[in-house]
Amino acid sequence: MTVRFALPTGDARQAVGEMLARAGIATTGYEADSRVLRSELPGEGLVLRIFREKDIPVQVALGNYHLGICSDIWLKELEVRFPLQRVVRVGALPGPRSEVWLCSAPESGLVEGELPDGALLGGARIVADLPNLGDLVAVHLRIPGYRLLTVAGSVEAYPPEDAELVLLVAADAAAVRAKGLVPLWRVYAGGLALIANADALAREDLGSVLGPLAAVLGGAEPELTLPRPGTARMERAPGRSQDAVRLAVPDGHAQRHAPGELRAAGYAFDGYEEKGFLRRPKSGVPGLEVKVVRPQDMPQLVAMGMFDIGISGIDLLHEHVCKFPASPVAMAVDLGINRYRIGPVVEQAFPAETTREALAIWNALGRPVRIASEFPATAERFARDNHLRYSTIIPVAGASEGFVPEDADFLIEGTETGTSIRANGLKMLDPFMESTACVIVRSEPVTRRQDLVEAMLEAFRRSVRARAELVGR
Amino acid sequence: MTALAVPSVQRSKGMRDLLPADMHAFRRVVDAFRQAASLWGYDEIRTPTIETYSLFTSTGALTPRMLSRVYSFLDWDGWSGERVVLRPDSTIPVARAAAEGGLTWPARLYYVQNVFRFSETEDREDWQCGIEFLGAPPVLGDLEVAAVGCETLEALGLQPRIRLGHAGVSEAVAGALSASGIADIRPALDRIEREGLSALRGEARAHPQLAAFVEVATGRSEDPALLANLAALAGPALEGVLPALAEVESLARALTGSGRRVVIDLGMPHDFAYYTGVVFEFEEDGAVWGRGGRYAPVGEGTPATACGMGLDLGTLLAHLRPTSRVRPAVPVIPEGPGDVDRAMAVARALHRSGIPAAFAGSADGSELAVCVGGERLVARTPAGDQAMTALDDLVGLLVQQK
Repeated sequence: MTVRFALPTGDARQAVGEMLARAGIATTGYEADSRVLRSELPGEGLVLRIFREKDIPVQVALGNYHLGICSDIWLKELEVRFPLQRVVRVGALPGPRSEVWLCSAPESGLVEGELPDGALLGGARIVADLPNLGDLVAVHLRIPGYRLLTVAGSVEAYPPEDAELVLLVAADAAAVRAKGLVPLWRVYAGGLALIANADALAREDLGSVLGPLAAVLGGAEPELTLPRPGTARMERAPGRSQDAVRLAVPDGHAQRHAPGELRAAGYAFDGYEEKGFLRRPKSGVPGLEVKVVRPQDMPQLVAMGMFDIGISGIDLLHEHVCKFPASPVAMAVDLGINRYRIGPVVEQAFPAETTREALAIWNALGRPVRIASEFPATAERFARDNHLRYSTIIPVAGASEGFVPEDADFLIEGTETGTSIRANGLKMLDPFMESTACVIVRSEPVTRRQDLVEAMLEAFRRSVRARAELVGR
Repeated sequence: MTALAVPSVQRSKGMRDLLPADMHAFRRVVDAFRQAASLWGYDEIRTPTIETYSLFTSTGALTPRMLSRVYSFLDWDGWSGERVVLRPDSTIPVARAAAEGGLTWPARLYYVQNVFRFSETEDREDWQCGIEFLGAPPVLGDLEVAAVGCETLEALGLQPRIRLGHAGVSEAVAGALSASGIADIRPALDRIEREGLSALRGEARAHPQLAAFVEVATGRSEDPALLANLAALAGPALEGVLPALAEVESLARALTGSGRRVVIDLGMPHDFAYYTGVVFEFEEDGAVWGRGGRYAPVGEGTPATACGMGLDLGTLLAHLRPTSRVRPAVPVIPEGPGDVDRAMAVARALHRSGIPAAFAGSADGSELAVCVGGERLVARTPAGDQAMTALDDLVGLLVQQK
């Protein structure tokens, strides 16, 4: 019996590794500095698979893994939307505890622990990277016609001007305050959980892992406390000004190049550099407001008219347009940097070198073809455009190289040099798209300052032309 | 040629196929319902399967539990942040459509459509025959709506008992509990949907008069005397319950007077967020055929008050299916290629007389059949074959047989 065990990458990796070691469970390949995503330990009857935490409850629910360790928060996020999922929470494990807080900006006038009167918040915008919990909170607050804005992260960037309420994961209320928000209600608190697939627990002998882990079980149980409508009146920020231009610039990986691109175009913002940023950098340009958000969220934010310009990527724009073909977002300037290819990625031993050969194999499988991707809408369009007869899309949060071949038949994945996919025993078939960083705008402008928008776009175009000339010399 | 990857061929979990036997029962119910509703002056309406999610959050008429069970998703233009749902309820969309369409009040509307709600164990798609009397006056409107339900069920050979309650009773008790300083009763209010008035029993214990009222009110009776006893127990703390008791009494007397069986059950569970007045169910031998009640439509341009009811087609179908006979078509059998025109003429003549008929290669065990060969027509009946030459004679014979 080989126990398939899903373990988290990221912040929890070191703590979980140490705990497993204390319990006497082999952790070869799961060391803090390892980049391995799958570690087969036949001598131990164990396969370790390293996922982003968010993907672990899903993979265990699907039965791809017998056991998993993840944050209670991601387990609850799955449970509240899919109550029939096949995951059993075996128990709490020692580890960091996190809380989910309903928060507002100080400008809301609400004080800590005070809940707003939902009936007075008609049409309020709630921003969350935990959309299922966000929905649950909104319906319990009885907010008429609320809008849930699901984002990839950086939720604290939104209130007060772009959202009234926010669902924030933080260590505690003090950490919420440190983000400049007011903690109104603790919705959830949880730590690390040992989870198991319900069917595996009933039918398979998982004792080789469950036994040692039983000795280290312990820790606070999770608590879900849903709010009820309060009585406080909440001050709401006025809608965005149409006399300003709102520019969204990226945090995360894209932050490495974006400040340089802006400088090249003649824009240097106080509080937005390669190695650090303020959420609201000072633009120094009259009428130009700047905010730092996740690049993944920019197409939607521009589509919604919250921003007029965003610095994003063709891959992210394509994903957005695949999902919403009528979206009013369009690329205005191709910055031509951060170039990489996107295509189907299979294991190296897969008997096809082209997408066409692979399609013949996939269509003859006689079962659904499993496609894992961080770009699920793009993957779905690929399947449709290529007449894949029956496919299932597995949206993943990251660490996707580890999915093939056990948990997916192929990936829709991007690669710059191919090094990473080769290192993981994979190969790309025919790439179908090339992505670069780009400037996006709304085709039906919200701002009245189109002069400023056009001036900025022209500055980006000049900068791109200058670079092309430099390269051509 | 590669083999076709065969997807799952089963229907999506909780959704409903309606096969011919189901559809025969379905049509029986719908025909009876349409007849009853039309005679009371109701007009048919149909609303879209997809509505905006905010329609249901804006009205505040669906509980968090219900809102957590809608099928919601982002439409193709969901970049705006607006989600849509598969219609989880018909009352709210009907009120919306009536207001949006500029109908005037009172408006009497009926519908036959399905609703979608996630359920762990039961059907997730339910068909309903429902009416909405928008702008209905109290009592008289309630009586009319209940009568449409009764007449439909009676036309189907059912003899429902009408279980009568009133949302105002729970509301008055909850209000009295709050006014008496008893701690937060909101968790108990949420339970009324599933447990009825008895959900407040625990909270009422601290107040002897309220406890006595709740105890008596959670009993059932076919006699309006129960209402008089409750009025006597109400006292000053529950003065607000008296109009509700009076409405129930008026309705109970009117329904009983029209020969219907009534049971007063003020403890019956009901959606506390939804109903504002009389609530009722049609039940028989443990089966609940449908339910309804008075509510306050929410939304721009809607009337202040309304009454509606819905019959549960799923429950009715399960009951009526065994007695809903499929009418088989009479096989019309051309003996040779030259007989097709004549066979067509036979089929058309039978259709004009209301007899289902279809082409066939053989009688295949049918009790009745017609063979067409040249000028010769042969009617096959349980009494034996009868040769005929005149089409009218053949039709006459089959009409008698059918």
